[in-house]
Amino acid sequence: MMPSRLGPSQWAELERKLGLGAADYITARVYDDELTIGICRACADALGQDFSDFLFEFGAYWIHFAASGPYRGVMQSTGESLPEFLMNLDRMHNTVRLAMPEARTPLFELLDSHGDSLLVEYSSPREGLEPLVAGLLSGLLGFFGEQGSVTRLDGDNGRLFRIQLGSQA
Amino acid sequence: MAATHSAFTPPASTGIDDERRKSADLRNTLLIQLQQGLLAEALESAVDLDKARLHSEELLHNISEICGFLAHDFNNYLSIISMNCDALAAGDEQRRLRARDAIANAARRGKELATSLINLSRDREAAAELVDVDQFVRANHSLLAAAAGGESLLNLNLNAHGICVRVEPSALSHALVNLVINARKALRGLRSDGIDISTRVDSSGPYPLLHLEVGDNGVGVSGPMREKLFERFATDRLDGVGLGLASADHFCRKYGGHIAYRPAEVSGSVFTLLLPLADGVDPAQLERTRDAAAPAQPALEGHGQSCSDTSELRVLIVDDEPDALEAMAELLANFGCRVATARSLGDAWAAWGDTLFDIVFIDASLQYGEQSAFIAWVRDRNPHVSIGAISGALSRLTSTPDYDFALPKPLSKQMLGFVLEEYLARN
Repeated sequence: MMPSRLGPSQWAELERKLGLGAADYITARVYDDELTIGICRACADALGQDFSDFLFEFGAYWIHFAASGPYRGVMQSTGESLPEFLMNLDRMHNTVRLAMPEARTPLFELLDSHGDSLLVEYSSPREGLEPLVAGLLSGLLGFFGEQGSVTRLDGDNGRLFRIQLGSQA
Repeated sequence: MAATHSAFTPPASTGIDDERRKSADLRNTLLIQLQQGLLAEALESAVDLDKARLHSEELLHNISEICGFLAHDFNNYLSIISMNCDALAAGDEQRRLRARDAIANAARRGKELATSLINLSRDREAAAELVDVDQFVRANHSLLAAAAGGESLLNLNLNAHGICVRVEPSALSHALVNLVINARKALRGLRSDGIDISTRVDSSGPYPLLHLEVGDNGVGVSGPMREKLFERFATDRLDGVGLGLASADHFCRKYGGHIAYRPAEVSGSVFTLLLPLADGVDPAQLERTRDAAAPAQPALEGHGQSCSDTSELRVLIVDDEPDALEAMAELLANFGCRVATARSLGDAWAAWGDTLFDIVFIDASLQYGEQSAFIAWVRDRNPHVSIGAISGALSRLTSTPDYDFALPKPLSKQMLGFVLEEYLARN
């Protein structure tokens, strides 16, 4: 996402500032949250974006990345529709933990699914990643070719999300 | 054990069994898909790591080669100095004068080479500034000659007198050195006329562009490579990584220009850095600016004799290099100063504790952690003292604490005279 947003050279400059090199991007390695969040904050600063806005955009991008890269099969197997995907999301994360036992994955529960409205609860020991979740859910709408909107509901620490399907949403 | 096949009727499954089976199937499918994804990503990482390794190896290789050439050049200068030192003891006055000139000339060329290296190592974040390109190429001639593989292999044809571009100088150095190294590699094993560096201004387009060309009569660029010449990691050389031209292209684009390739007339390649001229800079105006920025020639310059104004100045020099210490003390003594010397801050503290100094020179690389305390102590004793850092490394001078002035090595009589003049003017 960052090379395309900043341009390859500016991203290379930012990597240099952050002290990141090819050896830092190792697959199936679990990174400290401090490092990951630090990189995200630096990226948001570089783009001149509010951190929450950056997390939302990154969440949406992550779905695009996962669905078009090596993890496309995982995405496709998790569900053929948005409700099915959300119901299987914990199973998918359980699988991730089998491959990476140190990974701390969140929990998602599809609390309600009536008509064009889905209610999703997100749980995680991590704080402050709700905008990322909103971005991920928004990205999933696109992945399933749906139109709609994602709203973070007040209460429950803002960890309830309403997904409204349809072009009028 | 051989498998036996028989008619088998599975027991009627319940809804719960179906659910479990589906769940297990999904888990297995996801695990397989995830492992395939991880494997694919691991392969991508491995390729990236290999490219990074190759890049590091190429950089190291280039640096070692240039270091070899630089060592050769420095040894030449040192030989000139060493051999002519003997001649200084000769009885023939003309011979002594020639030896002195030869030593001065070798020192000047060594200094130019060191300045080029210091510029090359400057922080890449440094701001863009006005660079007179012809002057820049000449000033970096020794470095470029080292990159080319020898002075005789480098031909300059500079026709953009006084023309300036606004770029970051070390980035220009890197781009130019990259092109010269590429040219040298293209010439490997061939009879060669050398590497040509030329400049000119092209006013035929919508706005004038400076053309800075590096040409060779080497193997040239193969047809398929021309399409992707400036892409990262594009190379057709076995020992290449494909970052040099991409980096030069990035440099040009960053400053509003671009890079171009054309085959040389007979054989080989010409790469051109095309850069917009600095806005509104009239070369004549630049000349005036440069003159104004140049340090004023001190009144004491070149006389090498006592001057009544400086005869009362008490100067302390702290440097752990005894020969440099002695030479600097002698130069300042020639100005009439009363000079004290110390090889360390501790010695200076102990030996000269009660003396008030007007000017103190400190080798910036000496006991760096203790310098602030020493400087505070000196200032406490004489609030009018002028304290300067001396160093051969630019980075030291830009990061030294609490100094009134900084002088780059090698020092000259003119520089020291200027410091004395400044002090007298202020006090």
